[in-house]
Amino acid sequence: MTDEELMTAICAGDNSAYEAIVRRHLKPVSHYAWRMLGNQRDVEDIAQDTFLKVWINAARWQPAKARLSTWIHRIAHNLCVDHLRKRREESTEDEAAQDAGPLDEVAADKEMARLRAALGQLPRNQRSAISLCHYQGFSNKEAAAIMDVSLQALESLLARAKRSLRKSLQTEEA
Amino acid sequence: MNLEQFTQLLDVRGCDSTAWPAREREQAEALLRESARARELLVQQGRLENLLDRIEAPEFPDLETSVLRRPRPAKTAALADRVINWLRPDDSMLAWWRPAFAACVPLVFGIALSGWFSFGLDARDPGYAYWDQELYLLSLYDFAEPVAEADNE
Repeated sequence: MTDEELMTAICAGDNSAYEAIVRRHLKPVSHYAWRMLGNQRDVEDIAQDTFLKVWINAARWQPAKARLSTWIHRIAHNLCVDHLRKRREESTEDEAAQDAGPLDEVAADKEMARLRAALGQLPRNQRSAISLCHYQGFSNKEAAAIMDVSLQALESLLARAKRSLRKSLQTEEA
Repeated sequence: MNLEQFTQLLDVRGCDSTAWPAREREQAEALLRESARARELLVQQGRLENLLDRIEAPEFPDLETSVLRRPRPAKTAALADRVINWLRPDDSMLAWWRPAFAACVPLVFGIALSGWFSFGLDARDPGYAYWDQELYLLSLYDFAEPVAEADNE
Protein backbone atom coordinates (compact mmCIF):
# COMPACT_ATOMS: atom_id res chain seq x y z
CA MET A 1 0.00 0.00 0.00
CA THR A 2 1.18 3.52 -0.72
CA ASP A 3 1.65 6.16 1.98
CA GLU A 4 -1.44 7.93 0.65
CA GLU A 5 -3.63 4.82 0.98
CA LEU A 6 -2.32 4.16 4.47
CA MET A 7 -2.95 7.73 5.57
CA THR A 8 -6.52 7.58 4.23
CA ALA A 9 -7.01 4.41 6.27
CA ILE A 10 -5.55 6.13 9.36
CA CYS A 11 -8.08 8.95 8.92
CA ALA A 12 -10.78 6.30 9.27
CA GLY A 13 -9.11 4.95 12.42
CA ASP A 14 -7.38 1.89 10.92
CA ASN A 15 -4.81 0.64 13.45
CA SER A 16 -3.04 -1.71 11.05
CA ALA A 17 -2.41 1.20 8.65
CA TYR A 18 -0.94 3.16 11.55
CA GLU A 19 1.37 0.26 12.39
CA ALA A 20 2.51 0.11 8.76
CA ILE A 21 3.28 3.84 8.74
CA VAL A 22 5.21 3.54 12.01
CA ARG A 23 7.26 0.61 10.67
CA ARG A 24 8.01 2.49 7.47
CA HIS A 25 9.00 5.85 8.96
CA LEU A 26 10.16 5.23 12.53
CA LYS A 27 13.80 4.51 11.72
CA PRO A 28 14.55 7.76 9.84
CA VAL A 29 12.62 9.78 12.42
CA SER A 30 14.49 8.19 15.33
CA HIS A 31 17.84 8.72 13.60
CA TYR A 32 17.01 12.35 12.94
CA ALA A 33 15.97 12.88 16.56
CA TRP A 34 19.17 11.21 17.74
CA ARG A 35 21.32 13.45 15.57
CA MET A 36 19.48 16.49 16.92
CA LEU A 37 19.21 15.52 20.60
CA GLY A 38 21.87 12.91 21.17
CA ASN A 39 20.35 10.58 23.74
CA GLN A 40 18.02 7.61 23.67
CA ARG A 41 15.46 8.83 26.22
CA ASP A 42 14.74 11.99 24.25
CA VAL A 43 14.62 10.04 20.99
CA GLU A 44 11.89 7.85 22.44
CA ASP A 45 9.86 10.90 23.54
CA ILE A 46 10.19 12.59 20.17
CA ALA A 47 9.33 9.42 18.23
CA GLN A 48 6.25 8.77 20.35
CA ASP A 49 5.03 12.35 20.12
CA THR A 50 5.71 12.51 16.38
CA PHE A 51 3.64 9.44 15.57
CA LEU A 52 0.88 10.46 17.96
CA LYS A 53 0.63 13.72 16.00
CA VAL A 54 0.60 11.74 12.75
CA TRP A 55 -2.37 9.73 14.09
CA ILE A 56 -4.26 12.81 15.28
CA ASN A 57 -3.51 15.08 12.31
CA ALA A 58 -3.50 12.50 9.50
CA ALA A 59 -6.21 14.38 7.61
CA ARG A 60 -4.02 17.48 7.46
CA TRP A 61 -1.33 15.88 5.30
CA GLN A 62 -1.61 17.12 1.72
CA PRO A 63 0.10 14.66 -0.65
CA ALA A 64 0.17 17.26 -3.41
CA LYS A 65 2.28 19.57 -1.26
CA ALA A 66 4.83 17.26 0.36
CA ARG A 67 5.92 13.64 0.58
CA LEU A 68 4.80 11.91 3.75
CA SER A 69 8.39 11.54 4.96
CA THR A 70 8.86 15.31 4.57
CA TRP A 71 5.67 16.00 6.54
CA ILE A 72 6.61 13.56 9.32
CA HIS A 73 10.14 14.99 9.53
CA ARG A 74 8.66 18.45 9.82
CA ILE A 75 6.64 17.29 12.84
CA ALA A 76 9.73 15.66 14.33
CA HIS A 77 11.85 18.75 13.62
CA ASN A 78 9.39 21.06 15.39
CA LEU A 79 9.28 18.72 18.38
CA CYS A 80 13.09 18.59 18.51
CA VAL A 81 13.30 22.39 18.36
CA ASP A 82 10.75 22.69 21.20
CA HIS A 83 12.64 20.08 23.17
CA LEU A 84 15.99 21.84 22.74
CA ARG A 85 14.42 25.17 23.66
CA LYS A 86 12.93 23.69 26.81
CA ARG A 87 16.20 22.00 27.64
CA ARG A 88 18.06 25.27 27.26
CA GLU A 89 15.62 26.98 29.62
CA GLU A 90 16.13 24.30 32.23
CA SER A 91 19.80 23.86 31.42
CA THR A 92 22.35 22.82 33.96
CA GLU A 93 25.96 22.21 33.09
CA ASP A 94 25.33 18.49 32.75
CA GLU A 95 22.45 19.00 30.39
CA ALA A 96 24.41 21.51 28.38
CA ALA A 97 27.03 18.85 27.85
CA GLN A 98 24.29 16.45 26.79
CA ASP A 99 23.07 19.04 24.30
CA ALA A 100 26.35 18.60 22.48
CA GLY A 101 24.61 15.94 20.41
CA PRO A 102 25.71 12.45 19.50
CA LEU A 103 28.99 12.70 21.35
CA ASP A 104 28.42 10.47 24.29
CA GLU A 105 30.27 7.58 22.74
CA VAL A 106 34.04 7.63 22.95
CA ALA A 107 35.30 7.72 19.40
CA ALA A 108 38.09 5.35 18.55
CA ASP A 109 40.10 7.66 16.41
CA LYS A 110 40.82 11.30 17.07
CA GLU A 111 39.65 12.55 13.71
CA MET A 112 36.23 11.07 14.21
CA ALA A 113 36.11 12.34 17.79
CA ARG A 114 36.91 15.83 16.62
CA LEU A 115 34.29 15.67 13.91
CA ARG A 116 31.70 14.39 16.38
CA ALA A 117 32.59 17.21 18.72
CA ALA A 118 32.33 19.74 15.90
CA LEU A 119 28.95 18.32 14.88
CA GLY A 120 27.71 18.59 18.44
CA GLN A 121 28.89 22.16 18.73
CA LEU A 122 27.14 23.29 15.58
CA PRO A 123 24.24 25.66 16.14
CA ARG A 124 20.89 23.86 16.14
CA ASN A 125 19.84 25.02 12.65
CA GLN A 126 23.15 24.08 11.05
CA ARG A 127 23.05 20.64 12.68
CA SER A 128 19.52 20.18 11.45
CA ALA A 129 20.48 21.20 7.90
CA ILE A 130 23.39 18.72 7.84
CA SER A 131 21.23 15.94 9.31
CA LEU A 132 18.41 16.41 6.83
CA CYS A 133 20.53 16.84 3.70
CA HIS A 134 23.44 14.53 4.42
CA TYR A 135 21.97 11.77 6.58
CA GLN A 136 18.25 11.75 5.88
CA GLY A 137 18.70 12.16 2.13
CA PHE A 138 16.33 15.07 1.61
CA SER A 139 16.86 17.53 -1.21
CA ASN A 140 17.79 21.08 -0.20
CA LYS A 141 14.28 22.20 -1.11
CA GLU A 142 12.65 19.53 1.06
CA ALA A 143 14.99 20.26 3.96
CA ALA A 144 14.11 23.95 3.69
CA ALA A 145 10.41 23.05 3.83
CA ILE A 146 10.96 20.86 6.90
CA MET A 147 12.86 23.61 8.68
CA ASP A 148 10.47 26.28 7.44
CA VAL A 149 13.25 28.44 6.02
CA SER A 150 13.94 29.70 2.50
CA LEU A 151 16.14 27.68 0.16
CA GLN A 152 18.80 30.40 0.30
CA ALA A 153 18.77 30.32 4.10
CA LEU A 154 19.16 26.54 4.08
CA GLU A 155 22.07 26.70 1.65
CA SER A 156 23.71 29.31 3.82
CA LEU A 157 23.27 27.07 6.88
CA LEU A 158 24.77 24.12 4.99
CA ALA A 159 27.74 26.17 3.81
CA ARG A 160 28.46 27.50 7.31
CA ALA A 161 28.12 24.05 8.84
CA LYS A 162 30.48 22.43 6.35
CA ARG A 163 32.98 25.26 6.82
CA SER A 164 32.97 24.70 10.58
CA LEU A 165 33.39 20.96 10.17
CA ARG A 166 36.22 21.34 7.68
CA LYS A 167 37.90 23.78 10.03
CA SER A 168 37.70 21.25 12.86
CA LEU A 169 39.51 18.67 10.73
CA GLN A 170 42.10 21.18 9.56
CA THR A 171 42.78 22.23 13.18
CA GLU A 172 43.57 18.63 13.97
CA GLU A 173 46.00 18.41 11.09
CA ALA A 174 47.70 21.66 12.15
CA MET B 1 33.54 30.11 -11.69
CA ASN B 2 36.09 31.09 -9.08
CA LEU B 3 37.33 29.09 -6.08
CA GLU B 4 34.90 30.73 -3.66
CA GLN B 5 31.93 29.85 -5.85
CA PHE B 6 33.30 26.33 -6.24
CA THR B 7 33.57 25.96 -2.44
CA GLN B 8 29.98 27.19 -2.10
CA LEU B 9 28.88 24.62 -4.69
CA LEU B 10 30.64 21.82 -2.77
CA ASP B 11 29.12 22.92 0.53
CA VAL B 12 25.61 23.20 -0.83
CA ARG B 13 25.50 20.31 -3.31
CA GLY B 14 28.21 17.98 -2.02
CA CYS B 15 31.12 16.51 -3.95
CA ASP B 16 29.06 14.22 -6.18
CA SER B 17 29.17 16.06 -9.50
CA THR B 18 25.97 14.37 -10.71
CA ALA B 19 24.08 16.37 -8.06
CA TRP B 20 25.37 19.68 -9.41
CA PRO B 21 23.16 21.80 -11.67
CA ALA B 22 24.14 21.26 -15.33
CA ARG B 23 25.37 24.79 -16.01
CA GLU B 24 27.45 24.95 -12.84
CA ARG B 25 28.79 21.45 -13.47
CA GLU B 26 30.35 22.52 -16.76
CA GLN B 27 31.99 25.53 -15.12
CA ALA B 28 33.14 23.47 -12.13
CA GLU B 29 34.64 20.77 -14.31
CA ALA B 30 36.50 23.42 -16.29
CA LEU B 31 37.83 24.87 -13.04
CA LEU B 32 38.88 21.41 -11.83
CA ARG B 33 40.88 20.85 -15.00
CA GLU B 34 42.69 24.14 -14.54
CA SER B 35 43.11 24.56 -10.78
CA ALA B 36 45.06 22.32 -8.42
CA ARG B 37 43.47 24.18 -5.47
CA ALA B 38 39.99 23.29 -6.74
CA ARG B 39 40.99 19.63 -6.93
CA GLU B 40 42.34 19.88 -3.38
CA LEU B 41 39.04 21.38 -2.18
CA LEU B 42 37.15 18.52 -3.84
CA VAL B 43 39.35 15.98 -2.02
CA GLN B 44 38.81 17.75 1.31
CA GLN B 45 35.06 17.78 0.78
CA GLY B 46 35.08 14.08 -0.14
CA ARG B 47 37.04 13.30 3.02
CA LEU B 48 34.60 15.26 5.15
CA GLU B 49 31.62 13.48 3.61
CA ASN B 50 33.25 10.07 4.13
CA LEU B 51 33.86 10.85 7.78
CA LEU B 52 30.29 12.09 8.20
CA ASP B 53 29.06 8.82 6.67
CA ARG B 54 30.96 6.90 9.34
CA ILE B 55 28.95 8.51 12.14
CA GLU B 56 26.07 6.08 12.22
CA ALA B 57 22.99 6.46 14.35
CA PRO B 58 22.34 3.57 16.75
CA GLU B 59 19.41 1.21 16.43
CA PHE B 60 16.54 1.50 18.89
CA PRO B 61 15.16 -2.04 19.05
CA ASP B 62 12.31 -1.45 21.52
CA LEU B 63 11.21 1.86 20.12
CA GLU B 64 8.69 0.45 17.65
CA THR B 65 6.92 -1.49 20.39
CA SER B 66 6.77 1.51 22.70
CA VAL B 67 5.45 3.79 19.93
CA LEU B 68 2.75 1.29 18.96
CA ARG B 69 1.78 0.62 22.55
CA ARG B 70 1.22 4.24 23.38
CA PRO B 71 -2.51 4.89 23.78
CA ARG B 72 -4.04 6.97 21.03
CA PRO B 73 -7.29 8.93 21.06
CA ALA B 74 -10.19 7.27 19.26
CA LYS B 75 -10.89 8.58 15.80
CA THR B 76 -14.18 10.43 15.43
CA ALA B 77 -15.70 10.86 12.00
CA ALA B 78 -16.79 14.27 10.75
CA LEU B 79 -20.32 15.34 11.77
CA ALA B 80 -21.71 14.98 8.22
CA ASP B 81 -20.26 11.45 7.95
CA ARG B 82 -21.74 10.49 11.30
CA VAL B 83 -25.18 11.74 10.28
CA ILE B 84 -25.03 9.85 6.96
CA ASN B 85 -23.86 6.68 8.70
CA TRP B 86 -26.71 7.00 11.17
CA LEU B 87 -29.27 7.45 8.40
CA ARG B 88 -27.95 4.52 6.37
CA PRO B 89 -27.12 1.76 8.84
CA ASP B 90 -26.22 -1.75 7.73
CA ASP B 91 -29.13 -3.25 9.63
CA SER B 92 -32.09 -3.61 7.22
CA MET B 93 -34.74 -2.78 9.87
CA LEU B 94 -32.97 0.36 10.97
CA ALA B 95 -32.43 1.30 7.35
CA TRP B 96 -36.22 1.89 7.04
CA TRP B 97 -37.24 3.55 10.26
CA ARG B 98 -34.33 5.92 10.67
CA PRO B 99 -34.91 7.81 7.38
CA ALA B 100 -38.65 7.82 8.20
CA PHE B 101 -37.90 9.24 11.61
CA ALA B 102 -35.62 11.85 10.06
CA ALA B 103 -38.38 12.80 7.59
CA CYS B 104 -40.85 13.30 10.48
CA VAL B 105 -38.56 15.70 12.29
CA PRO B 106 -39.52 18.79 10.18
CA LEU B 107 -43.24 17.95 10.62
CA VAL B 108 -42.93 17.69 14.40
CA PHE B 109 -40.86 20.85 14.39
CA GLY B 110 -43.59 22.68 12.43
CA ILE B 111 -46.34 21.55 14.81
CA ALA B 112 -44.28 22.56 17.82
CA LEU B 113 -43.50 25.93 16.25
CA SER B 114 -47.15 26.67 15.50
CA GLY B 115 -48.00 25.79 19.10
CA TRP B 116 -45.53 28.32 20.43
CA PHE B 117 -46.00 31.21 18.04
CA SER B 118 -49.22 33.00 17.01
CA PHE B 119 -47.86 34.20 13.63
CA GLY B 120 -49.89 37.47 13.95
CA LEU B 121 -53.24 35.85 14.80
CA ASP B 122 -54.76 37.18 17.98
CA ALA B 123 -57.32 34.97 19.71
CA ARG B 124 -59.04 38.05 21.22
CA ASP B 125 -59.75 39.47 17.75
CA PRO B 126 -63.51 38.94 17.01
CA GLY B 127 -62.65 37.88 13.46
CA TYR B 128 -60.52 35.10 14.82
CA ALA B 129 -63.61 33.18 15.93
CA TYR B 130 -64.87 33.02 12.33
CA TRP B 131 -61.67 32.29 10.47
CA ASP B 132 -62.87 28.78 9.59
CA GLN B 133 -66.07 30.19 8.05
CA GLU B 134 -64.07 32.75 6.08
CA LEU B 135 -61.91 29.97 4.74
CA TYR B 136 -65.04 28.07 3.75
CA LEU B 137 -66.47 31.10 1.89
CA LEU B 138 -63.16 31.69 0.17
CA SER B 139 -63.21 28.12 -1.08
CA LEU B 140 -66.61 28.77 -2.75
CA TYR B 141 -65.40 31.83 -4.64
CA ASP B 142 -64.86 31.23 -8.36
CA PHE B 143 -61.43 32.65 -9.04
CA ALA B 144 -61.77 31.70 -12.74
CA GLU B 145 -64.34 34.51 -13.28
CA PRO B 146 -62.66 37.38 -15.19
CA VAL B 147 -62.47 40.55 -13.19
CA ALA B 148 -63.35 42.84 -16.14
CA GLU B 149 -66.64 41.02 -16.85
CA ALA B 150 -67.63 41.20 -13.23
CA ASP B 151 -67.09 44.99 -13.29
CA ASN B 152 -69.28 45.43 -16.45
CA GLU B 153 -72.18 43.62 -14.92
